[in-house]
Amino acid sequence: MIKSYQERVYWHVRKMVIDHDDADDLTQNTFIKAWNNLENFRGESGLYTWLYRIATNECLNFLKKKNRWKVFSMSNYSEVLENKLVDSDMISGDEIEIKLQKALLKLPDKQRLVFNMKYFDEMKFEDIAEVTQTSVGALKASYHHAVKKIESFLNEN
Amino acid sequence: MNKKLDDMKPIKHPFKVEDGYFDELTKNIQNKVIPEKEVSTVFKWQWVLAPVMILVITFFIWLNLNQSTTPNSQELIAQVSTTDIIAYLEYSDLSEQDLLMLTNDETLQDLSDIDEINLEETDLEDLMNNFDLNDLDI
Repeated sequence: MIKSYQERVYWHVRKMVIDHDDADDLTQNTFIKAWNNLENFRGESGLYTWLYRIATNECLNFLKKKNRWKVFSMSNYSEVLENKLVDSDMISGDEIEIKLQKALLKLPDKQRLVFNMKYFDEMKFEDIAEVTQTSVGALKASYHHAVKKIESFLNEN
Repeated sequence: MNKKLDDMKPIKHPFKVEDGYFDELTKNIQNKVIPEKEVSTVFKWQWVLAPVMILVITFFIWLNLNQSTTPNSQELIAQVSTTDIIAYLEYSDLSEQDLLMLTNDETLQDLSDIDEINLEETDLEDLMNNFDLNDLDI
């Protein structure tokens, strides 16, 4: 299970939290939780969808905690992540790829999550709906808005 | 010209990781997952076994106390002196015949052998003189 899915889970998490060390911790937590709750996996959804859901919850809880702490420091956590993008040599793409990642950080966390799963992972809306426990219609609307915001950001910058 | 996302070719994994990172990740996860599961199994067994052991030990203690506090009838009768038994029998309504009926001693129950005992006349007189005939319920 670990070898088959660890890379996909890691990349899903990394795109959300940007920092490698945080992504490493959250990926490990995801598999530990999955292993400890394996008896609760009923097989109604695919194992990967189930792992994706655990990883997604880990990411959202992590970001929620970070944003809560950042209230006291007068800055948004997305700004911290944006600085990380600029300061370190962690992106393998060109300048436009960095711009795209910056544009993504302007989105709310849940919208960014939906965009990542659709745009980078090329998942079907039905599968994303299973992971996020949201309706397909709501996901389509969310993705459409995200695309508009990103294109707007790219044209302005 | 307006940029469109559809015109861009998405990079599936835009971030970098060190070479060999995923081999390390597998080991790290396995090291954390497998021992935790084993520890939790031992922990559960301890909690299952502990009450069972307490029940078994309690049962044996109870059994031991019960045995030591309730002696059987033979042990009880052994604690009574012979004079006390005789005194009890003298005041009870049991006749000699009743006592003979209750006894398990076959030599006392079977009196047919008495006829076969040949005593000399003088010996018989001596024996009879040793008994006080007034005490007999004849």
